Amino acid sequence: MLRTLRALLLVAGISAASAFVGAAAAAILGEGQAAPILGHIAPWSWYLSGPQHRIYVGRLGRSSDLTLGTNGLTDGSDWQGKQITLSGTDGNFEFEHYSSARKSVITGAITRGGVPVATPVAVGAADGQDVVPLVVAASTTGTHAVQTWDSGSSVVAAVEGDGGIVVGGIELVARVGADGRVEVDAVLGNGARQTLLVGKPA
Amino acid sequence: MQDMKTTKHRWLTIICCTAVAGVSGAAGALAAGHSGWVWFEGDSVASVGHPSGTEDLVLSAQGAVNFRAGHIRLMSNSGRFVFEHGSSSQNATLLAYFLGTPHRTPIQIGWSDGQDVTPLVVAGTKGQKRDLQEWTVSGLPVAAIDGQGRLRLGGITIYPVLRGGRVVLVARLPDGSTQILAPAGT
Repeated sequence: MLRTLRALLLVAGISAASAFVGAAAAAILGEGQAAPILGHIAPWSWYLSGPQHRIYVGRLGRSSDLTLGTNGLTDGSDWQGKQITLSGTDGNFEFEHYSSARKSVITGAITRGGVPVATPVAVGAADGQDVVPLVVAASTTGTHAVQTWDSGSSVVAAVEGDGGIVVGGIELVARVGADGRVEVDAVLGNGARQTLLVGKPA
Repeated sequence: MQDMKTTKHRWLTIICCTAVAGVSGAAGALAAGHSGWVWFEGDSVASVGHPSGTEDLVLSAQGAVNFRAGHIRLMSNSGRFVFEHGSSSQNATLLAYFLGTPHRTPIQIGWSDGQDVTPLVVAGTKGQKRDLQEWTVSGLPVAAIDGQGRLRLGGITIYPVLRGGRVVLVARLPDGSTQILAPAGT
Protein backbone atom coordinates (compact mmCIF):
# COMPACT_ATOMS: atom_id res chain seq x y z
CA MET A 1 0.00 0.00 0.00
CA LEU A 2 2.80 2.33 1.01
CA ARG A 3 4.74 1.45 -2.10
CA THR A 4 1.75 2.16 -4.29
CA LEU A 5 1.26 5.53 -2.62
CA ARG A 6 4.92 6.35 -3.07
CA ALA A 7 4.77 5.37 -6.72
CA LEU A 8 1.74 7.58 -7.29
CA LEU A 9 3.43 10.48 -5.57
CA LEU A 10 6.47 9.94 -7.70
CA VAL A 11 4.50 10.02 -10.93
CA ALA A 12 2.55 13.08 -9.84
CA GLY A 13 5.70 14.86 -8.78
CA ILE A 14 7.57 14.18 -11.98
CA SER A 15 4.55 15.13 -14.09
CA ALA A 16 4.08 18.40 -12.30
CA ALA A 17 7.75 19.24 -12.39
CA SER A 18 7.95 18.42 -16.08
CA ALA A 19 4.91 20.52 -16.83
CA PHE A 20 6.33 23.45 -14.93
CA VAL A 21 9.73 23.24 -16.56
CA GLY A 22 8.09 22.79 -19.95
CA ALA A 23 5.85 25.78 -19.49
CA ALA A 24 8.74 27.94 -18.36
CA ALA A 25 10.84 26.86 -21.29
CA ALA A 26 8.00 27.49 -23.70
CA ALA A 27 7.46 30.93 -22.27
CA ILE A 28 11.13 31.81 -22.55
CA LEU A 29 11.44 30.45 -26.07
CA GLY A 30 8.25 32.23 -27.04
CA GLU A 31 9.86 35.53 -26.06
CA GLY A 32 12.63 35.07 -28.52
CA GLN A 33 14.91 32.40 -27.17
CA ALA A 34 15.77 34.38 -24.10
CA ALA A 35 14.03 35.38 -20.90
CA PRO A 36 11.97 38.57 -20.93
CA ILE A 37 13.57 41.58 -19.36
CA LEU A 38 11.83 42.85 -16.27
CA GLY A 39 13.07 45.38 -13.85
CA HIS A 40 13.74 48.98 -12.97
CA ILE A 41 15.60 50.20 -16.04
CA ALA A 42 16.17 53.96 -16.26
CA PRO A 43 14.23 56.00 -17.20
CA TRP A 44 11.50 53.48 -16.42
CA SER A 45 10.02 52.94 -12.97
CA TRP A 46 9.37 49.41 -14.12
CA TYR A 47 9.77 47.83 -17.48
CA LEU A 48 8.93 44.52 -19.13
CA SER A 49 10.09 43.67 -22.61
CA GLY A 50 11.37 41.00 -24.91
CA PRO A 51 15.12 40.62 -25.32
CA GLN A 52 15.19 42.80 -28.43
CA HIS A 53 13.31 45.64 -26.69
CA ARG A 54 10.98 45.76 -29.68
CA ILE A 55 7.85 45.19 -27.64
CA TYR A 56 7.55 46.61 -24.18
CA VAL A 57 5.26 47.65 -21.36
CA GLY A 58 6.13 49.81 -18.42
CA ARG A 59 5.78 53.02 -16.47
CA LEU A 60 8.05 55.81 -17.62
CA GLY A 61 9.83 57.68 -14.84
CA ARG A 62 7.54 59.36 -12.36
CA SER A 63 4.65 59.55 -14.79
CA SER A 64 1.38 57.90 -13.90
CA ASP A 65 1.01 56.53 -17.42
CA LEU A 66 1.19 52.92 -18.52
CA THR A 67 2.91 52.68 -21.89
CA LEU A 68 2.72 49.70 -24.20
CA GLY A 69 4.53 49.87 -27.46
CA THR A 70 6.51 48.46 -30.29
CA ASN A 71 9.65 50.12 -31.56
CA GLY A 72 9.46 49.10 -35.19
CA LEU A 73 7.60 51.32 -37.61
CA THR A 74 5.81 48.33 -39.04
CA ASP A 75 5.39 46.37 -35.83
CA GLY A 76 1.72 45.93 -35.07
CA SER A 77 -0.03 45.66 -31.77
CA ASP A 78 -2.98 43.29 -31.55
CA TRP A 79 -5.47 43.20 -28.70
CA GLN A 80 -7.87 40.31 -28.63
CA GLY A 81 -10.67 39.35 -26.30
CA LYS A 82 -14.36 38.56 -26.12
CA GLN A 83 -14.95 42.26 -25.67
CA ILE A 84 -12.55 45.19 -25.60
CA THR A 85 -13.35 47.76 -22.92
CA LEU A 86 -11.38 50.97 -22.75
CA SER A 87 -12.03 52.96 -19.59
CA GLY A 88 -10.90 56.54 -19.33
CA THR A 89 -11.82 58.78 -16.43
CA ASP A 90 -12.02 61.94 -18.54
CA GLY A 91 -13.87 60.30 -21.42
CA ASN A 92 -11.22 61.25 -24.00
CA PHE A 93 -9.93 58.47 -26.23
CA GLU A 94 -7.16 59.67 -28.52
CA PHE A 95 -5.91 58.15 -31.75
CA GLU A 96 -2.50 59.62 -32.56
CA HIS A 97 -0.66 58.97 -35.78
CA TYR A 98 2.39 60.01 -37.74
CA SER A 99 2.15 63.21 -39.78
CA SER A 100 2.55 61.10 -42.92
CA ALA A 101 -1.06 60.02 -42.34
CA ARG A 102 -3.69 62.73 -42.65
CA LYS A 103 -6.27 61.17 -40.38
CA SER A 104 -7.01 58.33 -38.02
CA VAL A 105 -8.95 55.54 -39.66
CA ILE A 106 -11.35 53.23 -37.85
CA THR A 107 -12.57 50.15 -39.70
CA GLY A 108 -14.46 47.00 -38.84
CA ALA A 109 -13.55 43.58 -40.18
CA ILE A 110 -13.98 39.90 -39.73
CA THR A 111 -11.50 37.31 -40.93
CA ARG A 112 -12.86 34.82 -43.42
CA GLY A 113 -10.48 32.17 -44.67
CA GLY A 114 -7.57 34.21 -43.41
CA VAL A 115 -8.73 37.24 -45.40
CA PRO A 116 -10.03 40.37 -43.67
CA VAL A 117 -13.54 41.22 -44.84
CA ALA A 118 -14.82 44.72 -44.12
CA THR A 119 -17.90 45.18 -41.92
CA PRO A 120 -19.74 48.32 -40.86
CA VAL A 121 -18.68 50.20 -37.77
CA ALA A 122 -21.76 50.66 -35.61
CA VAL A 123 -21.98 53.42 -33.05
CA GLY A 124 -24.56 52.84 -30.34
CA ALA A 125 -26.69 49.82 -29.59
CA ALA A 126 -30.37 48.96 -29.33
CA ASP A 127 -30.12 48.28 -25.63
CA GLY A 128 -33.20 50.21 -24.55
CA GLN A 129 -31.27 53.29 -23.46
CA ASP A 130 -32.48 56.47 -25.13
CA VAL A 131 -29.25 58.39 -25.67
CA VAL A 132 -27.77 60.26 -28.61
CA PRO A 133 -25.46 57.59 -30.05
CA LEU A 134 -23.21 59.91 -32.04
CA VAL A 135 -22.26 63.55 -31.77
CA VAL A 136 -19.85 65.03 -34.26
CA ALA A 137 -18.46 68.13 -32.62
CA ALA A 138 -16.63 71.03 -34.23
CA SER A 139 -15.22 73.93 -32.26
CA THR A 140 -15.72 76.82 -34.66
CA THR A 141 -17.44 77.57 -37.91
CA GLY A 142 -14.35 77.45 -40.08
CA THR A 143 -13.70 76.39 -43.60
CA HIS A 144 -13.82 72.68 -42.86
CA ALA A 145 -17.03 70.69 -42.91
CA VAL A 146 -18.22 69.15 -39.66
CA GLN A 147 -18.68 65.82 -41.39
CA THR A 148 -18.16 64.54 -44.89
CA TRP A 149 -19.29 61.43 -46.70
CA ASP A 150 -16.72 60.11 -49.12
CA SER A 151 -17.62 57.65 -51.89
CA GLY A 152 -14.03 56.47 -52.08
CA SER A 153 -12.90 58.93 -54.70
CA SER A 154 -14.60 62.18 -53.75
CA VAL A 155 -16.74 63.87 -51.14
CA VAL A 156 -20.39 63.33 -52.07
CA ALA A 157 -22.14 64.88 -49.07
CA ALA A 158 -21.31 66.97 -46.05
CA VAL A 159 -22.65 68.85 -43.05
CA GLU A 160 -21.26 72.36 -42.86
CA GLY A 161 -20.61 74.42 -39.78
CA ASP A 162 -23.64 76.63 -40.44
CA GLY A 163 -25.90 73.59 -40.16
CA GLY A 164 -26.43 73.21 -43.88
CA ILE A 165 -26.24 69.88 -45.63
CA VAL A 166 -24.36 69.54 -48.89
CA VAL A 167 -25.67 67.12 -51.48
CA GLY A 168 -24.60 67.09 -55.10
CA GLY A 169 -22.23 69.96 -54.44
CA ILE A 170 -25.09 72.27 -53.36
CA GLU A 171 -25.66 73.27 -49.77
CA LEU A 172 -29.20 73.26 -48.46
CA VAL A 173 -29.87 75.63 -45.59
CA ALA A 174 -33.11 76.08 -43.65
CA ARG A 175 -33.97 79.25 -41.80
CA VAL A 176 -36.95 81.20 -40.54
CA GLY A 177 -37.41 84.47 -42.44
CA ALA A 178 -38.44 87.81 -40.96
CA ASP A 179 -42.07 87.06 -41.81
CA GLY A 180 -41.94 83.86 -39.77
CA ARG A 181 -41.96 81.66 -42.81
CA VAL A 182 -39.51 78.83 -43.26
CA GLU A 183 -37.18 79.17 -46.21
CA VAL A 184 -35.03 76.42 -47.60
CA ASP A 185 -32.23 77.96 -49.62
CA ALA A 186 -29.72 76.42 -51.95
CA VAL A 187 -26.23 77.86 -51.67
CA LEU A 188 -24.18 77.25 -54.77
CA GLY A 189 -20.44 76.78 -54.94
CA ASN A 190 -19.95 80.42 -55.95
CA GLY A 191 -21.91 81.62 -52.94
CA ALA A 192 -25.06 82.47 -54.89
CA ARG A 193 -28.23 81.76 -52.93
CA GLN A 194 -31.55 80.59 -54.32
CA THR A 195 -34.71 80.10 -52.32
CA LEU A 196 -36.07 76.67 -53.13
CA LEU A 197 -38.93 76.22 -50.72
CA VAL A 198 -41.10 78.53 -48.67
CA GLY A 199 -43.28 77.53 -45.76
CA LYS A 200 -47.02 78.02 -45.76
CA PRO A 201 -49.41 77.41 -42.88
CA ALA A 202 -50.06 73.71 -42.57
CA MET B 1 17.93 -8.02 -3.00
CA GLN B 2 15.70 -6.57 -0.29
CA ASP B 3 18.35 -3.91 0.46
CA MET B 4 18.43 -2.87 -3.20
CA LYS B 5 14.66 -2.48 -3.23
CA THR B 6 14.72 -0.43 -0.06
CA THR B 7 17.44 1.86 -1.43
CA LYS B 8 15.52 2.29 -4.66
CA HIS B 9 12.36 3.21 -2.80
CA ARG B 10 14.23 5.72 -0.67
CA TRP B 11 15.60 7.41 -3.78
CA LEU B 12 12.19 7.45 -5.34
CA THR B 13 10.75 9.03 -2.21
CA ILE B 14 13.49 11.70 -2.16
CA ILE B 15 12.94 12.55 -5.84
CA CYS B 16 9.22 12.65 -5.34
CA CYS B 17 9.46 14.95 -2.34
CA THR B 18 11.92 17.20 -4.14
CA ALA B 19 9.63 17.49 -7.15
CA VAL B 20 6.57 18.26 -5.06
CA ALA B 21 8.51 20.81 -3.04
CA GLY B 22 9.82 22.42 -6.19
CA VAL B 23 6.43 22.71 -7.78
CA SER B 24 4.84 23.95 -4.59
CA GLY B 25 7.60 26.48 -4.15
CA ALA B 26 7.23 27.79 -7.68
CA ALA B 27 3.47 28.07 -7.33
CA GLY B 28 3.88 29.78 -4.01
CA ALA B 29 6.37 32.24 -5.44
CA LEU B 30 4.02 33.10 -8.30
CA ALA B 31 1.09 33.65 -5.99
CA ALA B 32 2.99 35.52 -3.31
CA GLY B 33 3.52 38.70 -5.35
CA HIS B 34 -0.04 40.00 -5.53
CA SER B 35 -3.02 38.21 -4.11
CA GLY B 36 -6.05 38.22 -6.35
CA TRP B 37 -3.95 38.01 -9.51
CA VAL B 38 -2.90 35.04 -11.60
CA TRP B 39 0.00 37.24 -12.69
CA PHE B 40 0.79 40.89 -12.19
CA GLU B 41 3.48 43.29 -13.38
CA GLY B 42 3.91 46.89 -12.35
CA ASP B 43 3.07 48.86 -9.28
CA SER B 44 0.16 50.69 -7.69
CA VAL B 45 0.43 53.51 -10.26
CA ALA B 46 0.53 51.52 -13.49
CA SER B 47 0.17 47.81 -13.99
CA VAL B 48 -0.80 44.94 -16.23
CA GLY B 49 -2.11 41.60 -15.09
CA HIS B 50 -4.66 38.81 -15.07
CA PRO B 51 -7.12 38.99 -12.16
CA SER B 52 -7.90 35.67 -10.52
CA GLY B 53 -11.25 34.15 -11.37
CA THR B 54 -11.54 36.05 -14.66
CA GLU B 55 -10.52 35.61 -18.27
CA ASP B 56 -9.61 39.29 -18.50
CA LEU B 57 -6.38 41.09 -19.16
CA VAL B 58 -6.41 44.32 -17.19
CA LEU B 59 -4.18 47.28 -17.94
CA SER B 60 -4.50 50.09 -15.48
CA ALA B 61 -2.91 53.46 -14.85
CA GLN B 62 -3.65 56.45 -12.69
CA GLY B 63 -2.66 58.55 -15.69
CA ALA B 64 -3.03 57.58 -19.32
CA VAL B 65 -2.63 54.21 -20.99
CA ASN B 66 -0.56 54.76 -24.11
CA PHE B 67 -0.51 52.23 -26.93
CA ARG B 68 2.30 52.81 -29.41
CA ALA B 69 2.79 50.71 -32.51
CA GLY B 70 3.09 50.85 -36.26
CA HIS B 71 -0.50 49.67 -36.39
CA ILE B 72 -3.11 49.22 -33.68
CA ARG B 73 -5.52 46.34 -34.13
CA LEU B 74 -8.29 45.64 -31.64
CA MET B 75 -9.88 42.21 -31.99
CA SER B 76 -13.07 41.40 -30.14
CA ASN B 77 -14.84 38.06 -30.57
CA SER B 78 -18.21 39.71 -29.90
CA GLY B 79 -17.47 42.75 -32.05
CA ARG B 80 -18.14 44.99 -29.09
CA PHE B 81 -15.69 47.75 -28.22
CA VAL B 82 -16.80 49.67 -25.16
CA PHE B 83 -15.57 53.10 -24.20
CA GLU B 84 -16.23 53.62 -20.49
CA HIS B 85 -15.62 56.92 -18.78
CA GLY B 86 -16.05 58.76 -15.52
CA SER B 87 -19.44 60.25 -14.72
CA SER B 88 -17.95 63.74 -14.82
CA SER B 89 -17.96 63.43 -18.61
CA GLN B 90 -21.23 63.29 -20.52
CA ASN B 91 -19.92 61.23 -23.42
CA ALA B 92 -16.99 59.26 -24.73
CA THR B 93 -14.96 61.51 -27.01
CA LEU B 94 -12.81 60.19 -29.84
CA LEU B 95 -10.03 62.50 -30.98
CA ALA B 96 -7.22 62.13 -33.51
CA TYR B 97 -3.86 63.91 -33.40
CA PHE B 98 -0.49 63.87 -35.04
CA LEU B 99 1.76 61.88 -32.73
CA GLY B 100 2.95 63.81 -29.72
CA THR B 101 1.40 67.07 -30.87
CA PRO B 102 -1.83 68.96 -30.13
CA HIS B 103 -2.43 69.15 -33.91
CA ARG B 104 -5.80 67.56 -34.43
CA THR B 105 -6.79 65.56 -37.52
CA PRO B 106 -10.05 64.00 -38.78
CA ILE B 107 -11.30 60.63 -37.68
CA GLN B 108 -12.30 58.55 -40.67
CA ILE B 109 -14.70 55.65 -40.45
CA GLY B 110 -14.14 53.09 -43.18
CA TRP B 111 -11.57 52.77 -45.90
CA SER B 112 -11.50 52.87 -49.69
CA ASP B 113 -10.35 49.27 -50.07
CA GLY B 114 -12.76 48.17 -52.78
CA GLN B 115 -15.13 46.45 -50.37
CA ASP B 116 -18.69 47.70 -50.74
CA VAL B 117 -19.97 47.90 -47.18
CA THR B 118 -21.82 50.54 -45.20
CA PRO B 119 -18.93 52.14 -43.37
CA LEU B 120 -20.92 53.59 -40.48
CA VAL B 121 -24.15 52.57 -38.81
CA VAL B 122 -25.55 54.78 -36.08
CA ALA B 123 -27.85 52.60 -34.05
CA GLY B 124 -30.58 53.84 -31.75
CA THR B 125 -32.92 51.82 -29.63
CA LYS B 126 -36.60 50.86 -29.91
CA GLY B 127 -38.72 53.91 -29.17
CA GLN B 128 -35.78 56.23 -29.69
CA LYS B 129 -36.73 59.80 -28.74
CA ARG B 130 -33.37 61.50 -28.59
CA ASP B 131 -31.51 62.39 -31.74
CA LEU B 132 -29.73 59.59 -33.56
CA GLN B 133 -26.92 61.90 -34.56
CA GLU B 134 -26.05 65.49 -33.88
CA TRP B 135 -23.59 67.85 -35.45
CA THR B 136 -22.48 70.52 -33.03
CA VAL B 137 -20.40 73.66 -33.30
CA SER B 138 -18.97 74.95 -30.05
CA GLY B 139 -21.24 72.55 -28.22
CA LEU B 140 -24.49 73.70 -29.84
CA PRO B 141 -26.32 71.43 -32.30
CA VAL B 142 -26.49 72.93 -35.80
CA ALA B 143 -27.96 69.89 -37.51
CA ALA B 144 -29.26 66.48 -36.55
CA ILE B 145 -31.01 63.32 -37.54
CA ASP B 146 -33.71 62.97 -34.92
CA GLY B 147 -35.00 59.77 -33.34
CA GLN B 148 -37.49 59.33 -36.18
CA GLY B 149 -34.84 59.72 -38.86
CA ARG B 150 -35.88 63.24 -39.81
CA LEU B 151 -33.37 65.83 -40.89
CA ARG B 152 -33.04 68.94 -38.75
CA LEU B 153 -31.24 71.93 -40.19
CA GLY B 154 -30.64 74.93 -37.98
CA GLY B 155 -33.44 74.00 -35.62
CA ILE B 156 -35.97 73.35 -38.39
CA THR B 157 -36.99 69.74 -38.85
CA ILE B 158 -37.84 68.81 -42.42
CA TYR B 159 -39.66 65.64 -43.34
CA PRO B 160 -41.89 64.33 -46.12
CA VAL B 161 -45.43 63.13 -45.56
CA LEU B 162 -47.89 61.56 -47.96
CA ARG B 163 -51.17 63.48 -48.37
CA GLY B 164 -53.73 62.34 -50.89
CA GLY B 165 -51.15 60.31 -52.70
CA ARG B 166 -48.82 63.29 -53.01
CA VAL B 167 -45.64 63.92 -51.13
CA VAL B 168 -45.63 67.08 -49.09
CA LEU B 169 -42.56 68.48 -47.43
CA VAL B 170 -43.27 69.65 -43.89
CA ALA B 171 -41.13 71.96 -41.79
CA ARG B 172 -41.47 71.85 -38.01
CA LEU B 173 -40.21 74.95 -36.25
CA PRO B 174 -38.58 75.00 -32.84
CA ASP B 175 -41.84 76.22 -31.28
CA GLY B 176 -43.61 73.08 -32.56
CA SER B 177 -45.61 74.77 -35.31
CA THR B 178 -45.53 73.30 -38.80
CA GLN B 179 -45.53 74.73 -42.30
CA ILE B 180 -45.94 73.09 -45.67
CA LEU B 181 -42.93 73.75 -47.86
CA ALA B 182 -43.78 74.73 -51.39
CA PRO B 183 -41.56 75.78 -54.26
CA ALA B 184 -40.61 79.43 -53.99
CA GLY B 185 -42.74 81.73 -56.16
CA THR B 186 -45.86 79.54 -56.12
